[in-house]
Amino acid sequence: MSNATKQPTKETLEKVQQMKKRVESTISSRINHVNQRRLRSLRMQHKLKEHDMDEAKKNEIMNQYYNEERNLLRDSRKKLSLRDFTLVKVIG
Amino acid sequence: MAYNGQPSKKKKKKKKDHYKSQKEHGNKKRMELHEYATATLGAGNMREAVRLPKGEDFNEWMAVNTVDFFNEISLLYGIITEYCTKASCPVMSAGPKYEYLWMDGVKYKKPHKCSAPEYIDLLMSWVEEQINDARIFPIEDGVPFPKNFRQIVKTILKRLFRVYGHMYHHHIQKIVQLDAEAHLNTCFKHFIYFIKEFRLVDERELAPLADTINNMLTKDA
Ligand SMILES: [Zn+2]
Repeated sequence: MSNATKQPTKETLEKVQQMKKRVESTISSRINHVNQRRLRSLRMQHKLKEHDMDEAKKNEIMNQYYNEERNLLRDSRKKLSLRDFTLVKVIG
Repeated sequence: MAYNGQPSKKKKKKKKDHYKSQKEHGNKKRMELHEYATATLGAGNMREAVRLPKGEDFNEWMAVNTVDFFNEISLLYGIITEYCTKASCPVMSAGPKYEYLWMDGVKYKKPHKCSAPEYIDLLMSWVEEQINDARIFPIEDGVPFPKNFRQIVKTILKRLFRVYGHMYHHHIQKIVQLDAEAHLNTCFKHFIYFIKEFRLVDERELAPLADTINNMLTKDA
C-alpha cells in the first residue's frame, strides 16, 4: 500500500478529533471575548452617561474598567500558556 | 458553539474528486491551494475579532493572540507528524522556491540545514520558550512588557508562518484526507487577519502563500 492511500493510524485520527475540538474552542472563545467585551464597554459608557459627574471622574472610572479588562486578558493568557505543556508533546 | 456555519459535506466531496483528477494531470499545486483555501469553519467575524478592543494595550493584545496562534499551529501540525518525516521532507521548505535553514542566534548561531520535522520541532520549541518566559510574556498583573516586545512578536510570527507554508505546500493532500482543511484554513485566516491588521510580517516573508492569501482576502472582502 502506498503512503498516499494508507489509512491514518488510530493515533492520528484521535489527534484530528482533539485538534478540531481545541481549535474550535480557541477560535470561538476569541470571537466571544471580543463580542462580549464590546457589550460590556457599551454598557459601561451608557451607565456613565446616566450619572451626573464631571468628565475627569468619568474618565477615571473608564480607565479603571479598561485596566480590569486588561488583567482579565492577561489571566486568560496565563491559563493558555499552562495548557501548552501538554500540547507540545503532540508535536514530537 | 459560536460558529455561523459548517463546511458543506457535498462541496468537499466534489473538491476531493477535483483534486484527484488534477493530480493525474501533473503538478498544479497552486490551483489546489486556492481550491482548498476556500473551506473554513464559517467564522465570518474573524476580521472583527482581531481588532484591538477599545482601551486595550497593544502589547497585551499581541501576547494573547500570539499564544493562540502557537496553540493552533501546534494542534494542526500535530495531526500530520506521522506523514511529515525525514524521508518525506528532507529539507524545510514551502513549495519548490522557498527553503529554510534554522538559526536562532543562541543554540544555532550558524544556519542549520535540517529536515522539515526537525526544523519545525526547533521552531516550535523556540516559540514555546519565548511564550513561557515571564520576562518576555509577563503574567503578573501590572508587570510591563519588554521594550522590544513588538520586535520579538514579529520574529515569532514570521517563523510561525513558515509552518503554514510547509503544511499548505507539502501536506494539504493529507490534511484534506483527514477532513481537517476547514480547520487549517480558519486558523490561517485568524493568523493572516491579525498580521495584516497590525502589519507584523513583511510581504516578502508571505510570498510562499501570496496567492492563497490574496484569494482568501478577496473572497472575504
Ligand atoms: Zn513535511
